[in-house]
Amino acid sequence: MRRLDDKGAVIDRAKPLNFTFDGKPYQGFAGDTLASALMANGVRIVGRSFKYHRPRGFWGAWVDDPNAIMSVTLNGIELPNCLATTTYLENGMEARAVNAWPTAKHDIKGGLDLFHRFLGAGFYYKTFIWPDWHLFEPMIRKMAGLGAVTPDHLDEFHSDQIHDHCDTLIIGGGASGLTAARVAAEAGQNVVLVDDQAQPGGSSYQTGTIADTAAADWIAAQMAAIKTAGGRVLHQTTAYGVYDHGLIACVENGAFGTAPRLWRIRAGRAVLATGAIDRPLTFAGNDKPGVMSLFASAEYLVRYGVLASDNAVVLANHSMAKEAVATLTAAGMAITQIDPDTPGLKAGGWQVTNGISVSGRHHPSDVVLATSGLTPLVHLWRHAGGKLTWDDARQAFLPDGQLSNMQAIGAANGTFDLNHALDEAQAAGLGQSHPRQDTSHHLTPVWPKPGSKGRQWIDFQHDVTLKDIEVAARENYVSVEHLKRYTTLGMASDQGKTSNMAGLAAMATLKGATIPEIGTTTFRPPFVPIPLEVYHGAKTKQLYHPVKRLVLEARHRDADAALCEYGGWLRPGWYGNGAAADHIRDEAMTARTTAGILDGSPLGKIEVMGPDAEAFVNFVFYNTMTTLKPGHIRYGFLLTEGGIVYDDGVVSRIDNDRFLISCSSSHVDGVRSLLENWRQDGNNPDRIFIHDLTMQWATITVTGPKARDILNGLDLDADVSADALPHMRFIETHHQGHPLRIARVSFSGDLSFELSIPSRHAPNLWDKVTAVAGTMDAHPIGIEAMSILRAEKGYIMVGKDTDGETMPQDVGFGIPRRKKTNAFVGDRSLHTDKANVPSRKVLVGLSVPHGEPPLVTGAHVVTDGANQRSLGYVTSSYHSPFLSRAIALGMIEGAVERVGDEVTVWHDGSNRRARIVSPCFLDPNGERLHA
Amino acid sequence: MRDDRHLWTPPKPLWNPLAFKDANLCAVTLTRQSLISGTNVRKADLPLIEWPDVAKDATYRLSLRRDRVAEINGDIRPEGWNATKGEACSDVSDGYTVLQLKGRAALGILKRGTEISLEHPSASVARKLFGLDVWLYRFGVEDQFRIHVARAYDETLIAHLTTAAQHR
Amino acid sequence: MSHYSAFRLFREGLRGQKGWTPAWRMPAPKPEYDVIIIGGGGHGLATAYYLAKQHGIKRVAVLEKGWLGGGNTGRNTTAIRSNYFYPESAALYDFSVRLYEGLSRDLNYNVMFSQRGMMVTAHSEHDLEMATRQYNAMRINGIDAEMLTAAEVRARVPLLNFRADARHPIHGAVSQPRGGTGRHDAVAWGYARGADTRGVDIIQNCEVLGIQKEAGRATGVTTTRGDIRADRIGATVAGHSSVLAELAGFKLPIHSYALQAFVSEPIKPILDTVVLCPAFGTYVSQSDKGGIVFGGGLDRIPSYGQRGNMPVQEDVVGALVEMMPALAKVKLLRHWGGIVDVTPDSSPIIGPSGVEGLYLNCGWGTGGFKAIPAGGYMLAHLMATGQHHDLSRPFDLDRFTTGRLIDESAASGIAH
Repeated sequence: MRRLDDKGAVIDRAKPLNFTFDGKPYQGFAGDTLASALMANGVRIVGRSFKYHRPRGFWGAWVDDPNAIMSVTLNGIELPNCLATTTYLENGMEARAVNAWPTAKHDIKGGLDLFHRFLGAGFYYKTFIWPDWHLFEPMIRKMAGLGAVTPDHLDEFHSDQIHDHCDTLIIGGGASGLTAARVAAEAGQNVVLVDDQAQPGGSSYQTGTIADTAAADWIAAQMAAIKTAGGRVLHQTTAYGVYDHGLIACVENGAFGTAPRLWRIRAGRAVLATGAIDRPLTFAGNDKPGVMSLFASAEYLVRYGVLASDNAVVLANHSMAKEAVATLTAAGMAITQIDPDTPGLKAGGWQVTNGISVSGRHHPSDVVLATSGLTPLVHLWRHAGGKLTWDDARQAFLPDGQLSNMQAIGAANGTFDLNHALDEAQAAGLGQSHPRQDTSHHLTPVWPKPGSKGRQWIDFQHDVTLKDIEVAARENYVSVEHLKRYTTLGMASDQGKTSNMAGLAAMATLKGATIPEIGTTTFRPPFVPIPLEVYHGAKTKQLYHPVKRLVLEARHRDADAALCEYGGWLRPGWYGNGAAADHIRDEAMTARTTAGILDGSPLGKIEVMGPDAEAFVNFVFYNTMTTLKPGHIRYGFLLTEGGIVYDDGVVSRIDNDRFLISCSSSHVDGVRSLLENWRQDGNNPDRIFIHDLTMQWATITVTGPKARDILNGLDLDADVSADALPHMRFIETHHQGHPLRIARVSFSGDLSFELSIPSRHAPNLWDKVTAVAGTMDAHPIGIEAMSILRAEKGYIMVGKDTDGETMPQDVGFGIPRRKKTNAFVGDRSLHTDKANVPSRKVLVGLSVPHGEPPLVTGAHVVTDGANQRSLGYVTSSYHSPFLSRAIALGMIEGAVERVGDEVTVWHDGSNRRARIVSPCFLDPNGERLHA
Repeated sequence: MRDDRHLWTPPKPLWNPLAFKDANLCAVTLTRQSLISGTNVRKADLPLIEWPDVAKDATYRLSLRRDRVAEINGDIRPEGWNATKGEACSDVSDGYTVLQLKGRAALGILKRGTEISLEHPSASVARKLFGLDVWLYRFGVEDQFRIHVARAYDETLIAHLTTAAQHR
Repeated sequence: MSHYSAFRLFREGLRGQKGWTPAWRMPAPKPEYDVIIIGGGGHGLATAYYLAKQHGIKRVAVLEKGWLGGGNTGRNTTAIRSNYFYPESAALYDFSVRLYEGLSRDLNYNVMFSQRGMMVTAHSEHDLEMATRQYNAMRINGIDAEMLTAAEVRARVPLLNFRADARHPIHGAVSQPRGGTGRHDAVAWGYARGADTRGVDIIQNCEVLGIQKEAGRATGVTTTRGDIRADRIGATVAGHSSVLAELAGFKLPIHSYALQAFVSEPIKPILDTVVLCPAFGTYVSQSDKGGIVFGGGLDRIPSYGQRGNMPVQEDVVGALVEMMPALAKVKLLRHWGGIVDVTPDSSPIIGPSGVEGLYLNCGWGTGGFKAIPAGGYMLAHLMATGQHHDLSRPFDLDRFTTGRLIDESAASGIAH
């Protein structure tokens, strides 16, 4: 293995680069891959196989190599499991073989191979049963896996993700792809060409001339023409998956350590010019380092100027090999050709190969260049739903039939003759189909021979041998998917690129069937392994599940609010920098003694308007809404069709045909969708219109005994006296010329007003309200305090006090179920057996003896005696500062009849006693509410 | 409850345009935004902007759905159901923050957040941009884009646009 | 069948592996059986096994339209657990876990059930309250459970995001120590071999095209390999349950969706428990081969396509990277899809179909793999005795009429 002085189309000898492999220093050039640089330095053992830790050398020159897997470190960034053949060399790279210690050349686990007889495919299904799998598993797990992942987070490793469109996407920049791209671009189509190498051209460099032009010049000319015609070319970009409706996903690689860019390309049509890869031959010792692909060897020579050896044995069964042999011979390789069909063929040598032995003779050489034919890369065709047909002449699966938006050309289509390929490309560029011509090449099938002697490899990375396939057949794991899963053939990181065909062929022989009768496994994206980061992109930290922000957030921050996430919004939980519990307690007390000011802006505000608005609101709500008068407010539930409480809220009737639904802040999107769905289903959407105005209006809640005094201190035009504005009514007025709606609703159980104003005026209103409030020793309060206040009244929080079983009658609202005559959502479900059983869980209060701490939320009420079972659970539990005691709400079976009873409350193995009480702990007659 | 005040960057009003490479982002103050729904709203005297139309007038309507438009800088309208016109109207001037992204790189920035193309028209300017519901259309000149986003998400959208603008 | 053991492995190793015998036969279908089971996945094969083993009913055919175990059984993320909420679910799924605990020995096939625990993380105070409710429910129902503090979660899974700027900080978790993973193919193969040994005919590449009826009673099936009669027919076809129901003339309250799953390239051990983070909607474990196996929410358009699309992939994979940032540089090796049959309460349907002679075991949605032993056991009991087993009765189809739903949507973990 050495570098020639006069070859290497893509390397730049003016830019030498230093790197290390397994601790030893080497040099390469810009344009090299790690593999070509290592090969130029004569490194033959570059890794170890997964199971037996056998030495591995390079098989391929690009994505088809299953062996050279390394962890690579550069500038403090370490990436595990890099394929050396597709990793471009950069100065300072430190590469280490994965799954080998201390080095690939000397791996302490190499001795495992001695036990291969007992470690064949599926051996772990037949043992480790006794005494217990758990005894053996840790050892197995430690042996598995390739590279190790460092626990560090790469802070700069973020993928750019971009959507794009084009008329024509050409996948692959070899001779066919370049031609199709040029023709399509010159025909005026919006063309994108993706090629996965740094220098396009595919295997064209192996062709001396194309159209009487030196290959490198021809490639450059196509590229120039494509760009002149307005086509775009993406280099180092792999199309890895085809998805529905013409979406093709690509990753664009950049410098080492940078996250790839994701391209989601919606193409009017795609031209598949992905080429074909070389197939290994199956013979004894075929896994030894030095046995490599004939065409890869030619590729190393023409692209990188690396001659695999001065002498080689070539095993080839088809006439295409002639060109590769000629190329290598011209560069000075002394080649001996041997018929690969000769029985008893064996690669000799201990760690690396020393040549081929056959028919009593040994042919010494450092490398054995093997090929049993080319396999078209049809993965994307299959992703797109295209069918395959078996071609006997080529002994390969080829794209078959038509797809409306994809056609395959060139070697990907089984068209190995360059002139035919260029014809196909020309037609494809113009969007025309072109029948596949017969190949001028001839091939003598040489497939694995089950029963023949010697250890013969099928899957090099997973160490699946021909014998393993024989065992699988013997045990009836004969379908192609069983074969794959039982032997693990094709499940390594190369996804069977070099192993699938041999495996199928072996099974076909064993079953006395043809290869197409065995079929193929499902081709699945991604075509090559891609970092998980590609799917992640900018959606991280604050941009992952972003919260909604209040227009008053700056005010809250100035007041030292603890901002917490409630229902998708960032809201004040409490105010102050001290201990949360102290602030919350103080706020709850303030709200009951003077008043609390709460930013209630996230509360849903969805208007339903139109001639059918009343009928519609009455239909979607459990409670009767037809009797709601303008200016009035009513509490109600939205149910699912299953009769389960989906959300609660208040409905305000603004006008005959205008309703305002105030749903929970956490459910706004869901309620809006629910309303829109029902509007279109069984109702007349031309007579019902739904506007979500949650963002338009900010709401400031003033709650407590001093609430009215505060409002009176604002200089409003409106009369907010008890007579003018009773509970559950609203008025529309103005504040400083801006519309202001004042609703008298209460979540706290105290006298309470909700002031709603267009958002931009909220800061001004907040300042006025808090200033007036401050003069009365009333202050802003957060959600935590409000949660206690509402619990004191037994007011539910949907999703906390209710769950997937709760029906409205369970929380005290049973009348519409019995009395409402119009149809409404969920109606029928409220009359099932289950809806009527006496043991339904219902909302009650739970009281503990004075001085005891609150019950744990999530504790269960349990039956007493043997066979303990749960009767329900504690859903809300607080210490009430105003009542100076612990209070709790719970959903308990049949509890309404049991008010006054003592029950056992169980949490984490401990029992407490509590009494079932009314859920309303404060002001049951509502005097404070109706003040 | 967990105190997250340090987990979220305090919001900064966009008083001055943000300069990106070959693009800039600013906030726009409109006189009025009105949501109008009804069976005939797409037939009116005002220009109806779809994608990829360029709105050029002081007052125009955005086509959102077959039965919904957003009227921009139109007259004050009474809110609620108008039986004569068969329209429901709501003022949403405070509900949407309006951003304007202009420059050679603008479309490329937007493509980081939505599948958009000048060659693929749409009758609606409503779409998702970086996962957020927006109204997106061109205004004034061909490389200037207006984006209406729910005010509670305007910080998020600005952060996404800023991140997207950093990619080359 | 050859008995499997270390000794046998050793012996065959010396003899060139020539003595292994088929794991199952490939018989031609007979014209008549006592029982036909439609669907040769885990549940169908387990049903056949228990019919033969527990009830001595061996004239059984399992009809599989493709290759056995090729549906959801071969496509799932292999989690086994019983951390459900309602007593009925806890009993059923824990019965399954107990069967899994002895399954390798029972089948003489290593299904590699690894009980390394399954934890569900809590990312807020509200999450912790619900986790407490769940934890207590498990304990009261007799299921093993632990409440873990944030520090304990961190010690067990250092890979999780504990950075100060993590979007969803971890407050703690509920763990089921007896939960874990199993080798999905091995479960199917083990049951197949066990059933076949006891005389069950497993007929692969045999698609059922119609249900034959006489006087409203199911009497047999028409298939691509001929007509076959049977006294009783069990349907275990998962995502195709609605299709089969239509063939038989009844309806099921099922929607079928694509569920995607993912595996990374193999890496050295870095995660030794199963983790579900509801705030992210993604669950993850590491297989014995080293691949990170994970999944998340459904592709929400009903489909039999067994493939999903990019938006869900970005949601699920992006969530994993946000949960465990160190995995950003690990590479995805493969993604695939299956069809999940989802019921309104995320609980399975086990029981008579309404067509006499035809019995159902379906509706497992995203959670069928863990229940393979129990599902098979219950259906076998039902078909052998004509009566529900106590554990399966609550899951009868009639619950959708009575309203006695068992709403495990929270416990199933994945957004429906």
